[in-house]
Amino acid sequence: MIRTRVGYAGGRQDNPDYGHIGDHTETVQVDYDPQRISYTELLDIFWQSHKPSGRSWSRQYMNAVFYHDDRQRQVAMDSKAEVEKTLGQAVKTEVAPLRTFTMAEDYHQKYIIKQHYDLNAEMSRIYPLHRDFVDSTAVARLNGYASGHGDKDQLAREIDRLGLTEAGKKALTDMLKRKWNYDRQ
Amino acid sequence: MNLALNTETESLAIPPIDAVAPANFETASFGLG
Repeated sequence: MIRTRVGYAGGRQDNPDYGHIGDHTETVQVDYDPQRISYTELLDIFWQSHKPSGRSWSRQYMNAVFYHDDRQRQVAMDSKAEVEKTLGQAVKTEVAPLRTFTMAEDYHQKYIIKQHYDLNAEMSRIYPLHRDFVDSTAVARLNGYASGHGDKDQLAREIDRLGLTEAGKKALTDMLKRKWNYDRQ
Repeated sequence: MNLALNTETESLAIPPIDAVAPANFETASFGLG
């Protein structure tokens, strides 16, 4: 994973925003290195991240793969067929064209890390421009850790690559000790 | 040693993980209700 962003996609309404989302769906977009992870592997994570046989609550909050081109459409359809075969029931998750992607408002981006004052302040000093902050792999990683993802081994491998001061590293580690059963991992 | 200044200087470096971000990438999009 190189970078992430959230926004509105899949619909036809022009210029959606949070208050006027129209027929779009809240969407996470991931830039990834295909030398490190394949689209198929990303789809595997996606299928494991929700209940594919369940109905979505609404168009705004819909489980969907939004494909960017014909290759992604075919890979996603094949992947969906595999999941249906494994589950033995219909998958209700949509596979649909992206059409357009509109960035969500700034306050939605990297939302979780912004709730952690010390870490947010450190990364904001490095990236005073919000667009750069959003596009940072380090910020995306920190947002993921703060959301409860990752594990102790992964953190040990990359904590020195996230650009944090020693105080920032301690703040992150202390937070994860509270969040995870850190010492049992 | 001025620790405050040192911390400030240290914190302004581009994170190593960002410095090596590949220029070639693909994009995937998912709705997660």
